[in-house]
Amino acid sequence: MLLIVRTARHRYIVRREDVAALRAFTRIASYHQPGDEGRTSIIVELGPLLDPADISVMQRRHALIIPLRRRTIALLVDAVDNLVDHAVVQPLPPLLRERLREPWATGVLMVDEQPVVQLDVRAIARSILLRRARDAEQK
Amino acid sequence: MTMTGMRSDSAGQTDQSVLLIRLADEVYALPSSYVREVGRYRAFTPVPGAPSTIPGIISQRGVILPVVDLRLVLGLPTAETSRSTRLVTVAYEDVDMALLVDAVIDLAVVPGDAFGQPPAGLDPARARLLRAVALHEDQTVALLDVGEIVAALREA
Repeated sequence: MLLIVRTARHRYIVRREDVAALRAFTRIASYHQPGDEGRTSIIVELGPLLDPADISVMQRRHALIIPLRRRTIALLVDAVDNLVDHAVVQPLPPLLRERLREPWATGVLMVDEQPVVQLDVRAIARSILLRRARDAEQK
Repeated sequence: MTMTGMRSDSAGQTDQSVLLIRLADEVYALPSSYVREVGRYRAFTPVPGAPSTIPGIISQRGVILPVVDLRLVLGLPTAETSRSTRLVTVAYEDVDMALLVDAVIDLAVVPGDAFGQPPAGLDPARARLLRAVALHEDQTVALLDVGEIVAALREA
């Protein structure tokens, strides 16, 4: 199963099995939900993480919950749709795949005759955690 | 668009069939043997983490192609797209790509004896991407080395 997630400017494909839960979210300072098993959460807007110009003004957000070993990452997006189509995800062209700064984009799916990039949200979550750890060390 | 390749004149110098393109106010030539198709610009899908020279992808008849900003590859400043912006599909060995260019001028055959070495004072990073320079119809035309462009795109 694949999900289409929408940010202010873009659409992305996410594997459903990479997401532990989908939750409604409003822009508030704290984030506590049952089922996080004591993990503290890091909340990140997915849009500007991938494209600095992709900034949502919507108050109502959807959180993709990605649990890692000790922390839970919540990636916020504007909307999430289930994609039940059995379309085949194509690999990225090697010329591009070899040059990605981060291994976040893993493939391409044609949706409404437009290529939509598939994201590895677990790799994104791990990168967020690593950056936080590096930032904390530098302080 | 049918491409004609190369032909030799009586002096043994090779004429070059090329697609003339414009980038900024400069004219470049792509060997037509590598050119598969010319299409109007259409918005591409950006890919997170992609280098500025390969900012995204398009689907061309079901095939996903990387879009290459040829201005940036050649060290020219980026520019807004316009009605004349084109995507030139190029195939080089196992690499297919769509080159973003300001305009496509024409197909032409440049006589072999018109080609000379690129100017010595050129920035080495740029000179590497040029096979030759020719005077064609009172215009300086730089013949692009598609293999070196692919090599440059692959370098970190």
